[in-house]
Amino acid sequence: MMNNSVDPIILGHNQFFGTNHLSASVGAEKERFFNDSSNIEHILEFAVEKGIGAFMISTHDRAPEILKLINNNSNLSTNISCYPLLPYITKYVKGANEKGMLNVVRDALSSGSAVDKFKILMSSGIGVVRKDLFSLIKSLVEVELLPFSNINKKAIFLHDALTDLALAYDMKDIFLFYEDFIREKYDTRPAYATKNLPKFLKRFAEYGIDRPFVMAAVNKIGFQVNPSIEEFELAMKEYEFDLLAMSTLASGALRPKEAYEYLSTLPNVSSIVVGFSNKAHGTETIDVIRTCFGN
Amino acid sequence: MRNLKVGVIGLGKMGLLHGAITEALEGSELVAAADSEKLLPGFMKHLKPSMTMYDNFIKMLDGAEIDAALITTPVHLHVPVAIECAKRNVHYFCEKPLSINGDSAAELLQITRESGVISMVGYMMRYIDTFREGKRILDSGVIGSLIMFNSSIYVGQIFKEGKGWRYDKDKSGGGVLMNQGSHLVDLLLWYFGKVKRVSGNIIHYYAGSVEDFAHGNFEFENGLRGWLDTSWSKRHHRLVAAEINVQGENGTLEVTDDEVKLFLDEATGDFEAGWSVMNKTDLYTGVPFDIGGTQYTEELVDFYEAIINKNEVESDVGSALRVQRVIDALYLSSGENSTYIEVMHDE
Repeated sequence: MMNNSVDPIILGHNQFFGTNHLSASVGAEKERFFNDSSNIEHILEFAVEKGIGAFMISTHDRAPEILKLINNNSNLSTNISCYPLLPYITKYVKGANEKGMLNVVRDALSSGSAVDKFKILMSSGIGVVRKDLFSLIKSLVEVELLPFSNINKKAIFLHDALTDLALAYDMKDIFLFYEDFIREKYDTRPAYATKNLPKFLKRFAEYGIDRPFVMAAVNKIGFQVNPSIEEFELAMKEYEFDLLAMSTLASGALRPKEAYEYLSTLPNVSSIVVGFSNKAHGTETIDVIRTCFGN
Repeated sequence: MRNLKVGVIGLGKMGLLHGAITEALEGSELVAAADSEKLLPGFMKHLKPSMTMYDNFIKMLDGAEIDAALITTPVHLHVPVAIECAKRNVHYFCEKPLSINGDSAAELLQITRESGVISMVGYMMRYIDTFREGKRILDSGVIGSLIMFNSSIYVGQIFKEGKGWRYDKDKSGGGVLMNQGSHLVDLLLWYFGKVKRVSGNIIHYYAGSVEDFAHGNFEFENGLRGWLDTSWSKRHHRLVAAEINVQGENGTLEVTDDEVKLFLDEATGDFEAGWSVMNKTDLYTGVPFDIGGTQYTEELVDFYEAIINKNEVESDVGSALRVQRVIDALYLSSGENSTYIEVMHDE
């Protein structure tokens, strides 16, 4: 049975993988700390202790190791659901620089039987038919999600680079395909990350996709908010959707109290993804969110 | 006003990106694409039926009615493609670096100037908020006359020889100095003006025929001296990290992708004495559509606005050729025991 209930607070992965939007050097420092996966395990256990049973994790190279750690810890495996984010885009960008985009796709498929299909596609060139395209995308998604087989998945997020690419080109068919495929194959909710929420909501209304689940940056100083705070806030009021709010602290430029007081004035905020690398910071963040949102 | 009609030549990663921005912006649309490889155009044909696909860029330039072209081919094709655009009065945006060497682009500069088309070369770091703020501060003159600078751009990406045109010197023009290093050379020229002479030193280790490490000493026409260091094989650098540090008689300026730090001995202009720190969260402004970073959008907005308003573009073919001449001199110097080489100027 599909579970549509969205967790109000979701633990994010950025701190574990060295992503820090404010400072690359702080990011690198955390990456070193969390290179020891027991430090990740401690944070996940602390999250569960605080009643947070949701974890967003991209299909990063380290995802299999972390998922294994969850599976091997009964406290974690019982209490944590995942929100996978795919693909791990850095891998593809780096790969495209190293060997070209087509070789990256071919290598990504090498673990599945799809690689033969891909070779046939390459040779058939411009005569490639529509169903081949979607069968290739299916294979790519399946390969990305292999490490998540034994994990409860509450929603599967498409990375903002791909959402926004398809959005820019107005490729309605990609979104309709993703909606059907995720629901049918994984029995869960398709979801999207985007850097362009107003445009996303407008297009999804045109496509007839109801109540999308979407992750976007939202904070009162407008960091990574496009095209402007004013247009963003207007769009939030105009459409019905579930927002998973990210970059709520604007990479540390905002204190939790001012950040979440602002967020609680906006409609459609269903969930907040938070990152913390120690218990003190985690406790402060979680308690302030619960006070502001009254849950 | 009607939309600008745009065609993309080379449907790789950058072609898809610039094409997407073109589609997302009000006032421009992507109507055609050319690529000799067939799979991606085949997919695009299904997903974007309004676009016409060509297997050859000449066919596109002659067949599609376009105002502007986005040139996102391997580097060695930039100049021949851009020349065909300029000859047909098609404005062009070309990815960086402009060419495999300065000499091969000199004719393009002349043809572009004669045709009057708008040209832009994709030195997008000028549109990163922190580097733009650094330029504003330098131009304001608050740190006084400049004494010395140092600068670097690093990423940890190449630890073995890769596949494709980037690793073939005839097609890429070189390694890290051409790839990431050219961005930093461009910023230095934008900040400090024309370069008089340079001394260079390059090291090959991982990538075979192209260099992995490069170091250059610069002497600008205004007398400023300093150095640049770059590598694409720098361990512990998941992302590209660039920085420029300048010392002036009244203070210092440090610019990175993340922040701008200004130190002044005495309050000057808008700034107080001591440290002023501006980080990218303070400097951020939204863009009409963000994909892969706001700098890419702001760059193309500038290009399309220049076409509509017949404005000049700062990062044009002439500016990019100056970058190329500096890189040429760095390579030449490295081959001659790092002796100083005078940088050639085309205009």
